[in-house]
Amino acid sequence: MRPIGVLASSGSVRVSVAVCGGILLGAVLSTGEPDEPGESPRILLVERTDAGQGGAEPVRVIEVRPVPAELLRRWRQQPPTPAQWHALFPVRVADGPADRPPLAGSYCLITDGIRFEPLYPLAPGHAYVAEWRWPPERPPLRATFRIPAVEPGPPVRVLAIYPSAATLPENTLRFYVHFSGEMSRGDVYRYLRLLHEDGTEVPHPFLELDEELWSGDGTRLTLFFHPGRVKRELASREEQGPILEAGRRYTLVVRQDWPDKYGRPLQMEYRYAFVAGPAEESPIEPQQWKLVVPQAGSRQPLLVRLPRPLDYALLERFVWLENNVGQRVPATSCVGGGERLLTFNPQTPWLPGTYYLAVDSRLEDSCGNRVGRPFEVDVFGPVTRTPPLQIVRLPFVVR
Amino acid sequence: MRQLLLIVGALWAAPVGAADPGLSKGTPPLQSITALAFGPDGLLFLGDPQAGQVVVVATGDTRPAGSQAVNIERLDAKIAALLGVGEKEVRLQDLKVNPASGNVYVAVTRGTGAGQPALVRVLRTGEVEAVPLKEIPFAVVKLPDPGKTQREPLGAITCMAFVGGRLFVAGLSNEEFASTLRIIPFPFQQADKGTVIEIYHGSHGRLETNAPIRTFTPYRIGDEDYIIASYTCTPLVKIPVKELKPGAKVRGVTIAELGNRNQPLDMIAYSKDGREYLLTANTARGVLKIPTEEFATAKPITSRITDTAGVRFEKIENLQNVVQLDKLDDARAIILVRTGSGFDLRTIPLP
Repeated sequence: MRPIGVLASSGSVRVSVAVCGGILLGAVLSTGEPDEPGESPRILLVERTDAGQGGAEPVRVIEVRPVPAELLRRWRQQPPTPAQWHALFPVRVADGPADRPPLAGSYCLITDGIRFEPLYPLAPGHAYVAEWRWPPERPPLRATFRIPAVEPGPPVRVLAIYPSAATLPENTLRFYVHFSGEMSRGDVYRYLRLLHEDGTEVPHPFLELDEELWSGDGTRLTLFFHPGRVKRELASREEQGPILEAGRRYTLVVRQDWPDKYGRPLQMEYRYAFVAGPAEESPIEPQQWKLVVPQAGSRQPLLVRLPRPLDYALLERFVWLENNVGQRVPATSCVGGGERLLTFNPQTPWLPGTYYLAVDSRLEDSCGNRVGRPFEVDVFGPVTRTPPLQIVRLPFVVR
Repeated sequence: MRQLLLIVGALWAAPVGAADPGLSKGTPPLQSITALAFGPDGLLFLGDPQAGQVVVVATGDTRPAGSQAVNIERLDAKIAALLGVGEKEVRLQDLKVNPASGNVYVAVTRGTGAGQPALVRVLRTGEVEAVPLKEIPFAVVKLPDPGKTQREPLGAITCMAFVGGRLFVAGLSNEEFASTLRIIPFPFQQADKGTVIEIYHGSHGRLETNAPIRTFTPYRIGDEDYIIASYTCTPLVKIPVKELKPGAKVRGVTIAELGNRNQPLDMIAYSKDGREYLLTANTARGVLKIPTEEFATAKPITSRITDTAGVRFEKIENLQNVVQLDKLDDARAIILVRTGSGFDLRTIPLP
C-alpha cells in the first residue's frame, strides 16, 4: 500500500489532492496494480471547486485515471447506463452489510478518466471504498479513503430547562430543554425521565413524537407531557392518572448518555427538581401585569412584572413594544425571575409620550392557557369568546 | 412576517411534466423533509418544517412500475449506504406510495443532528435509489402564518394529504400548543396563501381544548368529504371538510377512543369484499382495522370512558411494530416495521 499525493489540473477545473495528514487523504492502492507504472490507473480523492459557481463549497469527488483513451472514446459515443457505471466504478461506505448498495451519485468522463460525484457530500469521520473494475478479467483496483472527522468542540451540556420555577402547576404541559450544542435526534425520549420523590419513574409521561420538536439550530428541544393525561376526562388520564399531582415532588432527568451530534455523551446528567402545585386553569390577563416605566431620555429598561410565570419562549416572541403610531420600538427583551419578569432594553433613549406593550393573544403559559382563553374551556359554562388572533395593547406613558 | 415565495404560475391547465409551465426547473431550497403527499401525475409534495414551506416536485414517475411485492430487509441500512453514512445516521421520516406508478417513496434525514433532507425511492423491482432533488420541476409555497406579529417556528409537519385540489397540512408548533390545520390551494397562488384553521377537541364531557392533529386521512361518508384524524391526545375524530373555512373554529367529533398510552402514527382507508375500513398503525396498540360503516352514524363519545370506546375495531395481531403504512394497491399495503436492529419494508395483504 502506498499513499499518493497529487496536485494537478484537469481542463479548467483545479484539482488538488492532499497527502495523509492534510485535509484529505489521497488514494491507497491495495490490489491489482498494473504492470506498467507509467500507465497505472489510480483512484484519487479530489477536492474540486467549480469555477463557474463562484464561492461554492469545494466538492469531494473520486476519480480514476488515466483510463485508456480507447475506452473513453467508446464511452463518449455510447455512455454506460447508471447501473453499468455502478458496476464499473462503485464507491461504497467502508462499513455495513455485505449487500449494501453503492453511493448514489453521478459519473462523468473527464479528459483522461472517470469522475464520480456523490449526490451527498462524503461525510466527515467515514471511510469509503472505491473500486475500478476494468478490465473485467483482472482483480479490481481498490482504494480506501477516510474523510477526517470534524473537531467537535467542548462536550455539550444542558444549559437550562424552562419553566424554571421551584413549583409548577400540576397541569404543566410543556418544557424546553436548552443545550450548549447540537444534539443527536431520532431517539430523544430514551434519555429523558420523570422521577417521583422516591426515585421511581413516572410511567409514560411524555408525548413521544417521531418528528421531535427541535429549534432551528438544534439546541432546544420542546417536550410535551402527554396531553391525554393532562387534559381532564380523557381515557389516558382516567386510567393512568395525571402525570403530576399537587403536593408531590418530581425530578426531570436528562441522562448523561444522550449523544450529541458527534456521538459524545453529555458533560453531565442534568436534574431539575420541582414540586407540583395546584392546577393553573385560568386565562392570561395582561391587564393584571405591572409595568415599571422608565424615565424619558434614559435607556432604563421597561420592567413587566407578571403575576404568574408564563411561557419562556412565547414571552420573547409574542410580547413587544409599539410607539403611539403603531410602529414597533426596537428593544431587546429578556425573560427572567422564574418567567415572571420581562424586561425591554430600548436601542435608543426613551422619548416622552405614550407607548404600548403589545401582546399577541397566542401567548400561553406552560399549561397551554392563552390570553383570554384557558386551555380547557367548560363549553356549558359562561365563555368569553376571544377572536382567534388579537393583539392586546397596554398603554404606558414615559415622562 | 412570512412572505409567499411564488415560483409557480397562476394558471394550471396541463398535466404536470417537465415542460409544464406551472413548475420551474431548478434546485428546490429544501432544508428538511418530514412529510410526503402525492398529488396527481407523480406530483410529490414535500413538507419542509425547517424552512416553513411545502415544496412540490414533478417526479416524472408516472407509469405503472409493475405489480411485484416489495420486501426489503434493513431498508434503513440500505438507505444509509446509498447516502454514504452509517446505519445510525439516517432517520426515515415518512413513506408514501406513488399512486401513478406504485413505487414507494421515503423521506429521509441524513445525519445525526438537523441533518440533510433526502428522498429515496424503492422501485417495484426492489431496487433502492436516491431521487436527486436537483434540476427538477418544482414550486414552493411558504406556509401561511396564522399571525402577523413574528416569525412562527413550525416545529413539525406531521401529516399531509392532497384532497380535491387542496393540500391539507397538519403540524405541531415547537412553542405554542394551540393547533392549526393549514389548507393550501394548488397550484400555489399568490392571492390565496391558504387557510389556517384552529382545531378543537370538544367531545369529552363538557371540556373543550385545542387539539393538534397527529395524523389524518381523507374519507368520504355518504356524499360528504371528511378528514378522519387523530389528535395527539389519542381519539379518532371526524371533521367535515366543508367546515374547514377561513377563520373557522372547528371541533372534531370523537368517534373512537383507541386506548390510552397510544398514538396513531399513520392511517389509510381501503375497501375489501364490498366493505370499507380504516387501517391505523399505533404506537402502543399495534395495527387496528376499523370498519367505517359506523362512521356516519356513530354517536359522538361524550362521556368518560376507561380505555377504548366508540366504533368497533379489530387488532391485527400478526402486525407488530408497524411505524408507517400506505396502500400499495387495491389488495395490498406496504408497511415499515421496526425490528430489533432497524427497519424492514414489507408488503402485506390488506387485512
